[in-house]
Amino acid sequence: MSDHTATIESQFWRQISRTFVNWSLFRQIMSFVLFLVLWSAIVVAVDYFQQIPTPKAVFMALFETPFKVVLVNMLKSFIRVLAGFFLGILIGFPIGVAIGYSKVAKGLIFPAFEMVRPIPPIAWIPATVLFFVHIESQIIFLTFYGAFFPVVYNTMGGISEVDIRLPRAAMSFGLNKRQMLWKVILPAAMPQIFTGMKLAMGITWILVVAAEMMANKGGMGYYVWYNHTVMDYPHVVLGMGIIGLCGAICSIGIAWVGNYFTRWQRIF
Amino acid sequence: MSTSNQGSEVIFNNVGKMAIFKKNQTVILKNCSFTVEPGKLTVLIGPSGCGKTTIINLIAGYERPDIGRVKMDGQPITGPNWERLVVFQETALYPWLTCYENVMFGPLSRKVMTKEKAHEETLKLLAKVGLEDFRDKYPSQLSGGMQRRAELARALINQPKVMLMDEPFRGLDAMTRQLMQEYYLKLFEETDASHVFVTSELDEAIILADNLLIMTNKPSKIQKIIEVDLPRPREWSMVTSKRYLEIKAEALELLHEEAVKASTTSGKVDVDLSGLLEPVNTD
Amino acid sequence: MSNANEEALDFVWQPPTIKSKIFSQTTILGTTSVLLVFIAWGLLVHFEVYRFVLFPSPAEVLEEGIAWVSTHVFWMDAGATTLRVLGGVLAAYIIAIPLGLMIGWKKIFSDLTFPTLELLRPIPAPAYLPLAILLLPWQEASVAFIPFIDAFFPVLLNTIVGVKMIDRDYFRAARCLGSSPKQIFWHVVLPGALPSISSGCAIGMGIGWMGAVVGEMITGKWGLGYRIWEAYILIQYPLIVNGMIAIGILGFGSSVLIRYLTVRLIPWRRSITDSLEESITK
Repeated sequence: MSDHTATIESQFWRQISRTFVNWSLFRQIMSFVLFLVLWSAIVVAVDYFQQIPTPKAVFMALFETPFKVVLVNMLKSFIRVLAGFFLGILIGFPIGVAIGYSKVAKGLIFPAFEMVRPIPPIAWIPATVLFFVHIESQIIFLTFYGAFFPVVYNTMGGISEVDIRLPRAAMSFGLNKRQMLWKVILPAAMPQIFTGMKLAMGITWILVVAAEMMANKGGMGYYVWYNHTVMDYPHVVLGMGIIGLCGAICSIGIAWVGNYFTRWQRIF
Repeated sequence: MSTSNQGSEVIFNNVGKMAIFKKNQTVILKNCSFTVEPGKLTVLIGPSGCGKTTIINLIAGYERPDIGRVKMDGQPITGPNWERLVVFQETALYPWLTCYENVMFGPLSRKVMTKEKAHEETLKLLAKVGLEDFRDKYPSQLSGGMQRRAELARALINQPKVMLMDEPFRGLDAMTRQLMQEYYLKLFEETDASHVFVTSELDEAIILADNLLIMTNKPSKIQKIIEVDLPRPREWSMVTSKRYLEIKAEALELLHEEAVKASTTSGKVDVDLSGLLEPVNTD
Repeated sequence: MSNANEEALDFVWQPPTIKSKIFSQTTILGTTSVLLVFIAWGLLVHFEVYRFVLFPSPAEVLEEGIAWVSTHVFWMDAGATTLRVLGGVLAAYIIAIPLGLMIGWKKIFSDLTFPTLELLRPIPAPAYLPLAILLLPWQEASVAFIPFIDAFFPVLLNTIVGVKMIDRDYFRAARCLGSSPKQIFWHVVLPGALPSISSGCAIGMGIGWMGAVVGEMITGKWGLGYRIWEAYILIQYPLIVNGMIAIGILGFGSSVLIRYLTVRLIPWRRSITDSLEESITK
């Protein structure tokens, strides 16, 4: 009898806990807590990791951060990233459209690109220095170069993978080549074009940090490297966090714009 | 307006078409000759992979014949045109346009209608196919049957002279399919355009067709033309009529031969042969 | 069918001869494309346009390149960079693939780890360099840490997506047949995710090369990345270009190798593409 009521009671509480507590969310929050606890424990307990700053040290460093300096550096990185990124789109997008849309353009441009593409953008740094006098333009060229290929390749791929029936139907409706491009091909390729932009944004941030570490001209990469040279490790970790935050903001921004332009994909 | 709405005649004269894939050439059509009579519904039926879609593509102008001529009203077909519109297998609606925008797409792109006129026509057609409540939905929000109806409306607003239906009801469930056939019959009986309908299901073929063209295996040609002289308007009750069963028996016999040949050569049959298992009452 | 009609239809398909292959549009355009790059480069250097005054000509680069390849230094550099890339990327494979499989398979595991990983993901690999130097003071390992981070996230995400894309019915079928969780892991989760994992591995390898070059440029004493940086400081411009070419070739080669190996691992994937192609012919 009491056993029976106990079952009912436990079922009752299970129901309550399922209705009012989102266990998945709880576990996700626990993930961060677990991460911080593990991090602290490793630093405190294992001798080898002693030099790594604890989460507490990083948090305390937040209060002695020269906010103005960080803000200026952040702004510098942002300008470099965005300038390169938009230049990459401005030049890469039309080229990608041309290669995807015209066989002759593809035959003429694509092999040259394929020849250059395996060279990682980073390896262009010394060559960049030859062509551009100002460090600022060197860094922007680098970010542009990093954004260029993902944009070109994904635009091209998106266009060449459009379902053949869509342009065929448009041909029957009597669209001319220009209308076909703007009204059929580009909307159909839009999801992949935005995939390319997301990739481009990720690479631009990698490049900007690497270039700033070497260039001695400000930016978040320089901020991290500078703090490394003065052995101020809490600020190194803080700088990494800020860079991550900036990168995340940029990719969320692109995802947001992309979702707007491809909103027809997500409605069910 | 009234002249443009007249159905056209399409003639295939000894058409041959081949495809090359990975150094293998396949002859898809060989000596294929037939006529699509103006204002009639011509149904093509044959084993899977026998080149039915190729015939649609040739009439639509997406492909050219390698040999022979495809003519419409005496003029050779040189390319795609709004006079010959295709309703594709599965949906080919533009997924980024709403139902309403999809229907308006053709006339507005060609600039043959003012916005007001197009709006009016679109609403009229959407009402006709029963989609007026779904005008602002994207294709992905519509059910399979609704997508086909929207696609029919998208083609019909252009007042084509020839409608090409490339297995349009494939992939729909049996109930929706029958409803769509009824819709389609009603639409066809209201318009004057010629229709070419490709299918692999015999019941659908007979109930829709004026002329039933039975195709052979690859290299395909027309094996036999059966005139379906059931009265119009057609109704599903006719499937039990004596004439219907006679036609079915004749068609089944021809299709069975081809299906057996197909299954021994290429191994894939998708003609509906369920009728073979039941005795067909012909007296 | 009359004989005349049969003859009316004589499609005779000529297989492409070597001559027609050489003179086909794509090969002509492709050759032109590649040649144009070199011609433009040569002309720009020859007429000393803008800052091309400083730039070596193609002939110079080729000459110096041949000399460089025959030196002991080149092989040391190439070996060092390759080892770093392979070390970092393989470590990333070893950690990211099992982690990704677990995250994709078990919801609890995913809840507990994935949010943190998402937090770390946007931090670009070069930013980890100070910490890598701190933790792994000897050069080799700290540089290899960058390709590791670079390759880790693409491999992880592709693995997770691969598991999530597996048809739910496969799991149900396995459970109906009485499989243990261990068997489900080895016979459903892992093979089901393999195609996606393989493309993740190829991407990781490509980015790994970028990471190694960054690391070497900033802290290295050996390696191709260090070499081109040093060449820039010592004003040996042909060496810069040759270094870039060497990095490109090695990076491309390792990506091709990964792709070849993974195709070998997944025989059923090839049969899918074959049957797809077959259906196109019909």
